[in-house]
Amino acid sequence: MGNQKELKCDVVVIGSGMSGMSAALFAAREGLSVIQISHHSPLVNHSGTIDIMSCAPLQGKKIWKNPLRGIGYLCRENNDHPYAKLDLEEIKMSLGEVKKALAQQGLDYRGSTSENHRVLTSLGTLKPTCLVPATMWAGEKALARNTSGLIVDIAGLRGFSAREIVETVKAKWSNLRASRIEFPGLEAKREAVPELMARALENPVTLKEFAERIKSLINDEGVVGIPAVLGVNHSRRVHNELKRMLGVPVFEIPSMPASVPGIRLNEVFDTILRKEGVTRYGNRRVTSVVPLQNQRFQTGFTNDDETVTINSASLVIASGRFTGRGLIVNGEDIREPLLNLPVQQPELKTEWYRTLFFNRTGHGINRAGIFTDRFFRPVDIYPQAIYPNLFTVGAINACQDWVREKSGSGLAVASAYKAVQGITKYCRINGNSTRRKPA
Amino acid sequence: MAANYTTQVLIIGGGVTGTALARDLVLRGACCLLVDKEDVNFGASGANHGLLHSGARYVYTDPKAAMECAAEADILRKIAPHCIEDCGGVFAAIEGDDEGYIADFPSLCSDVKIAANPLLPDEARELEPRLSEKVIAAFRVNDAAIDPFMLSLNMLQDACEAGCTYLANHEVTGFYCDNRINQVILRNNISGEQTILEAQLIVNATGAWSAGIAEMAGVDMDLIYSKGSLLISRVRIARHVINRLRPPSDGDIIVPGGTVSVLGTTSILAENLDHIRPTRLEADLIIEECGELIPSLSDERFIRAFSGVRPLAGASGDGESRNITRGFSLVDHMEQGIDNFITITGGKLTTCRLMAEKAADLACSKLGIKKACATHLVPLGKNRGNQWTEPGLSATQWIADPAEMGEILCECELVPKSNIEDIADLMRNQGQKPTIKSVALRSRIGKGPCQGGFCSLRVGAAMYDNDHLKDDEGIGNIRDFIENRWKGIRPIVRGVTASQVELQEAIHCGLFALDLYE
Ligand SMILES: Cc1cc2nc3c(=O)[nH]c(=O)nc-3n(C[C@H](O)[C@H](O)[C@H](O)COP(=O)(O)OP(=O)(O)OC[C@H]3O[C@@H](n4cnc5c(N)ncnc54)[C@H](O)[C@@H]3O)c2cc1C
Ligand SMILES: Cc1cc2nc3c(=O)[nH]c(=O)nc-3n(C[C@H](O)[C@H](O)[C@H](O)COP(=O)(O)OP(=O)(O)OC[C@H]3O[C@@H](n4cnc5c(N)ncnc54)[C@H](O)[C@@H]3O)c2cc1C
Repeated sequence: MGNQKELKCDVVVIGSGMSGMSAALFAAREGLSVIQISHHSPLVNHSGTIDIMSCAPLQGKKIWKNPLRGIGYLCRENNDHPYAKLDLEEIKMSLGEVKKALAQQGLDYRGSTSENHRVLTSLGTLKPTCLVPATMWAGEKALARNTSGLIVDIAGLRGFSAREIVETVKAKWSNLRASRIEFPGLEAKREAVPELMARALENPVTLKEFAERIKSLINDEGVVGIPAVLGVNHSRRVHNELKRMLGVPVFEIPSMPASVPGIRLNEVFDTILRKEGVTRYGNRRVTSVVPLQNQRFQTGFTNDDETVTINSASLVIASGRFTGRGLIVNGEDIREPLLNLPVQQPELKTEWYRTLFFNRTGHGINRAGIFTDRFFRPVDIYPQAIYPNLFTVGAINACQDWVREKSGSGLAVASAYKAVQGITKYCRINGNSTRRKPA
Repeated sequence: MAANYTTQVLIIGGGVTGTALARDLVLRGACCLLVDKEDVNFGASGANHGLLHSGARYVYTDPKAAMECAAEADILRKIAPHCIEDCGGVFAAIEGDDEGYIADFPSLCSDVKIAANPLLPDEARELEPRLSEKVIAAFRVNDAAIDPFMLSLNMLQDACEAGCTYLANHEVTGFYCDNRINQVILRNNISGEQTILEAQLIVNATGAWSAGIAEMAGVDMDLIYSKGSLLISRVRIARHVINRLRPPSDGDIIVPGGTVSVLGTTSILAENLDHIRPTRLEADLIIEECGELIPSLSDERFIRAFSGVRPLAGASGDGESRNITRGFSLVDHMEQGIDNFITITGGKLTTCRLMAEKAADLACSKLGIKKACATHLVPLGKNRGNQWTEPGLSATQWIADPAEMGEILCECELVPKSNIEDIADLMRNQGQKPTIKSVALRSRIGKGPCQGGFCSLRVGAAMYDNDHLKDDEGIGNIRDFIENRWKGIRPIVRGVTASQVELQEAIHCGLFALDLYE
């Protein structure tokens, strides 16, 4: 083993999904010193839309037009739902703050927390969601008006067929036509990789050629839908330019991972957090978390050839569920690996999964997770917070099914917001904020 | 009622038996229509171990079946080498196994002329390093692995090329009969449309469903159903087929299938044929039992479980399903007063050609066809569209010529776009409509660790591009395919699989809202 390094800070955040990013952002903006460690970057799989809540799977088939109403309903039926720990104002505020922060770095979102929208996906389905990337926004209005539209796909782009979209959605949007272009500079029969195309379109010459190829296909259509490849760090500019060159509104269509809108989120959060002074360690797996005698936490991981330990006043676990490795399946048991926190779970393994995968009510295992108090502190059976300064945020928490509720990002952002309120309160009472940037 | 369709022979059931029979009959000049309520190998033929039996497994319980297997395996090796991996087999007993059985095994084998060469435990472990330290006796036998999909699909293709018609998704739902079956009611399971059909002869080759078909003609058949489940490991566990040297029991065979291994089976009496699914209990039992042969199995990852049903003819009332013969039964229902109706059921994948020969002999005698069977001599065809079930084949070809083969749609199994086209073309030529599920049946799509989460979406898009799908058929196609895969994943979710399932659900339901589509 090589060197030892010891760091100190107010808050350690484990995880860089939507919840870890939000927690780091909110904490830094409270003036707390923050160190964030994550093993991988799940945001690159994110489709870009910020879902808040559109469906209460245990309570029927209704799709809510207003996510906040939906949340109100959901929480009345299910007091233990993580959203029930917040009031609606807090939910609105937390998402508003993230939306503003993203826009400041050039990543614009449209819509408000009181209305759900329908985003056309590459499968031709209409996904209910709340905050919509500006690059996807023109689709919904055109759909509602049955505007005549052109869907364009790109030769060599896997899993994206304009014909599939047009055929599948035609009962709801009949006035669509499909067409295909070759991406400028991409040889025939080569695979078209979304991220590479997106970066290439930041070059004005490529963008111009791309626009001309699309333009030559437009007859009298009033709107154009294309794969989500309009730039990574400059999507605002690329989108606006393309719109101008085509003379009609353009919207991006989200598709399967790895997705460019997700990469945008990941990169923009990275920029924001660095500006806020957050110290970030990526590609590092936390291997030990030790609660110390003096009520602080010691978090350990290895960084190249040095062993790093961080001594922090508080700890935020934003480690997700099974894909994130926040929860693991161990024989008959679902466990939390970092601190062996109690995990609420179905009594019997046979209740984990339903016979049908697409069963509308969702799978029992998805509601497993950590049970917390109203500041998102894990509780024991009494139920009392196990540590006054330990918080779990995002998908790791119990009694929600973000996949079926379409509430992933909303839950992540809102729980992070509430947890940071708890941290601020804790640090103030204990007067142990270091109020300085970590080394 | 006027018939919409007439044929000389109607074969019901597109498993190995039905397809082998179609091939046999057209080679003798008969005119056939083959129908399946789903698709080729929907039944036991697509849910078995893939073991081309040397016969050694049955020397004790059923010497006649053992001899049949030995003879048929040799014929298949000659006519269908492309469907077979001649990997050889090992029988191994471990501490505590029945010493009497071990002692009798060599003579039981030699009685029926089945080769079984003794191995010292160390020699056995040299052949198969993962074998348990507790091996006390071992033999080498002529077992092999056979790809039942490639076998059936090529038999079907041979038959179709010689004039047989095949209808997938067509279910026989009833007969109009007096002392013969005058008309057959056939339902298209996709459109719901019904067809009335007339045939000189009807052959029931529906495996476990045979009794139900016979009942439609008012004939009783005494069948018992034994459900068997199997597990697929992520990697290949052994080079040879490994058998436990003991009287046939649960979890005692491991058969290689290209890059993976298939472990099994269980044997549970089943009442209902329609909701056959592997259970967690069975998966655990297989891992435990096979783990006695290969102790390191507990660290292995499994990617899927599946179940099939064996129809066991005869002796009702006996509770022990393994003791009933695995031989086949051929019934001429003339004995029960129906002139033009035959049932061929039971048996094994290994003996499907023989079963077809016997059934065809009977059919031909009824039809007055004199020509003799030729299937033991005529090599089985090989078709480009039927080769993609072989693990690893598309990968090697893709690496040789990536531009020609097109983009990779399935990353686990390296299935390129051109495979889909080969298969779809062949299906179209047979007059069938390709779906994601039917393409998956004929390729490696959905067979790797991701079990179709990603590739179902890519295959769907490619199929729209080439006009195989229209309207919103893709949605139903994907859901169907995923539900089908899910049956096999649900019983084995542990550790890493839980995160794969979660990612898949995040994509299909979280991102695309497929759960909400109506
Ligand atoms: C394919 C996909 C598409 C999605 N699309 C959308 C969408 O369009 N709209 C939407 O609103 N939501 C979407 N989501 C949901 C959303 O992005 C999050 O998955 C969800 O909100 C949960 O986020 P999280 O931050 O709690 O956990 P995760 O995103 O799972 O993040 C967990 C983090 O913890 C880290 N971690 C865990 N253990 C350790 C350790 N020991 N050491 C270091 N790091 C560790 C992981 O590396 C990871 O960075 C999507 C999710 C997926 C998977
Ligand atoms: C678990 C298990 C493991 C096995 N392992 C091996 C092995 O390793 N080696 C070996 O040699 N043998 C093995 N066998 C036996 C072998 O799989 C079967 O003997 C063989 O597949 C039977 O084929 P079949 O065509 O007769 O029946 P099936 O394959 O069951 O075919 C019957 C077909 O009839 C169709 N059908 C049913 N009803 C209707 C209707 N009303 N209308 C139209 N079509 C209909 C079904 O869709 C189905 O496709 C195994 C069997 C099982 C269950």
